[in-house]
Parts: sequence; C-alpha cells; structure tokens
Amino acid sequence: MLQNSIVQVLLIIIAGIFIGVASNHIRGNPLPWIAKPAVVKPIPGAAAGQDPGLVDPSSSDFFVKFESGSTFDAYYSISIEQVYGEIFLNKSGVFMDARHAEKFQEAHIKGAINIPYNEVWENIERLDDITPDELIIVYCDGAECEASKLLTQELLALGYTRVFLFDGGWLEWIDAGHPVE
Amino acid sequence: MQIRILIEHPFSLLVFRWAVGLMFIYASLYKIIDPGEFARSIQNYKIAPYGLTNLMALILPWIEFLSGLFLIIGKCMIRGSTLVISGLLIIFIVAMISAIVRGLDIECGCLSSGGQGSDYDLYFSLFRNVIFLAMCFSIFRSTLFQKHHKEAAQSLVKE
Repeated sequence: MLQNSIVQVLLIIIAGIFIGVASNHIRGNPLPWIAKPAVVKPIPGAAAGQDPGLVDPSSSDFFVKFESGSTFDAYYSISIEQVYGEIFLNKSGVFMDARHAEKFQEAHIKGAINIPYNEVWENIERLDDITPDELIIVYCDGAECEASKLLTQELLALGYTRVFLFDGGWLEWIDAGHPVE
Repeated sequence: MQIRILIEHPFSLLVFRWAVGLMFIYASLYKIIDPGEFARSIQNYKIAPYGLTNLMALILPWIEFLSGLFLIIGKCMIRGSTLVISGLLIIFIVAMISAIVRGLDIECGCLSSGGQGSDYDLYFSLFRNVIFLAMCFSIFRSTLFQKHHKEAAQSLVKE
C-alpha cells in the first residue's frame, strides 16, 4: 500500500512537471527557466553628486524587460546621502511611500505621499499634480522589501521618466534620524 | 468521541475532499495564469534558491491543480493526491512560520499575487493551512480504513 501511495505521488509530480514545462513552452511569453535577480544600479553621477538625470525605460542598459511582460529586472538606486542632501533638503523631488496605508499612517518620511504598490489605480488622483519629468523617490521598508521596486515599475509604465529607488528605505531613513511625520 | 464520529462520517470526508480540492484548484489558477507573479511570491519568502523560483512557479501550480482535481473526482489517486497536498501544506506552513519569525512584511501569495502585506494575512493563511492539513489527515486515514474494510470483507468471502 505504501508502494502504491509513493507511485501515485510520483505520477502526480511527473505529470505536474510535464504539463508545467509544456504549458510554458506554448505560452506566448514564456517565463525564463532560471530566474535572474533584479539588478539595482547606482544612478549616474551619484558619486559626483550630480542631478540624477533622466531615466529611459526603453534603454537596455538599465531596464531590461523580462520576456514574460512588463517586469523590469534592473532599477536605478539612490543613496541616502543623495536622497537627503540633494533632494529632501532642496525639496527637488517627490517622495512616494510604497507601503500599505496602515504603515504609512503610523509614520513616514516627512512630506511623502502614499501610493501602495498594489493600489496605484485606486490612488491615481494623488499623481495628478506630478508631472512626468518630476523627480520621484520611491521607498518601502528597506532593501529587503519588494513594494518599492513594484511601484517603480508601475510609475515607469505610467510614463514617469525620473523614478529612483531609495533602496535603504524607511529603516535607513529613521536610523539616520532624518525628519519623519 | 462524538467529534471523532463526525469527522469520520462519509459526508464529512466528502466535504473535506471537496473543500481541499476546490481550494487547491482555485489557488492554482492565478499561479498558472501568471507564473511570473507567483515566482515573485516565492522570492519574497527568501527561502528557495533565487534561480529556481521560476521553475517552481511553473511546476508547483500544476501539481496543486492535479492533486485538487483527483481529490474532487475521488475515484483514483486519492492517497497520492492527499499526500502531495499534505506535503505542500507542510512546506507552506514552515515557510509562513519562518517569514513571521524573520519579520518579513509579505503577503502569503497563496490565493493572489504576493508582495508586501499585513501580518494578519500571513497568520490567517497559516491558520487556514493547518485546518486543511487536518482535513488531509482525516481523508488519508479514511483511505487506510477503506482498504482495511475491503480486505476484511474479501477474507470473509473466501472463508
């Protein structure tokens, strides 16, 4: 009976592997068999303290599309020194908090607006006053979270051209003792 | 004792099979439609090797779907599909506990695309999976007794 059960388990697993492989093969945009981690690259001019400049989502240098669709596997990241020293203090950019509303309400970077990564359309009116070439800094909890990367993708897809990932995020911001509200 | 009778009642077992089967089929559908999102959910847990997450996202949903289907049909492969689902549930439970312990701010990724989420989501999913695991245990146990009863009946006929 044990043998019979093991055979059944193996049959189900083999059938699953077979159908999974076959279905991906016939899919219009097949998923790559091996996943490649997202590449977070420092923005050009980060060392020299220059303006971050324009992001071109069509540029294959930094934004390479997955074959499956609109997922980018590379992002421009921006350091906390540049975020605070050049953008926050000069008020030269918009901070977007990609976390859920409850976390945002507890505390957030001073002046940030909340666009939860999975509720962009529900909060689309918050983007009304932001022009496509405005500098946008996206953050979530920290380097471990995915929300800021997902929101970055959404914003780039919406046509915003200067979207940067603050990889250190909320945790790095409060560790540095920068203003919150 | 009464609870045991209730749990082992054929009608209860039918409900268990359908509940687990339907849930696994339902859960597999979004993953089959969008394996990229499911791969992201797996990556969020930061347990599996990153490179293998796409492969897992392509294969696991079909194993879930087939197991769920066999449970609902209930004519063949019940033991195998119950064991597969139990194994998957144990893996999911361990992954969720590990995510809670590590303080990962993620969604379960069980029934919809995963990402950042509330602790409530993970705790609820954990609770649901433990209930389903208990149901699987009952279903598997019933298949053992069915076999036992069948053998007993056959030996009686021979005598």
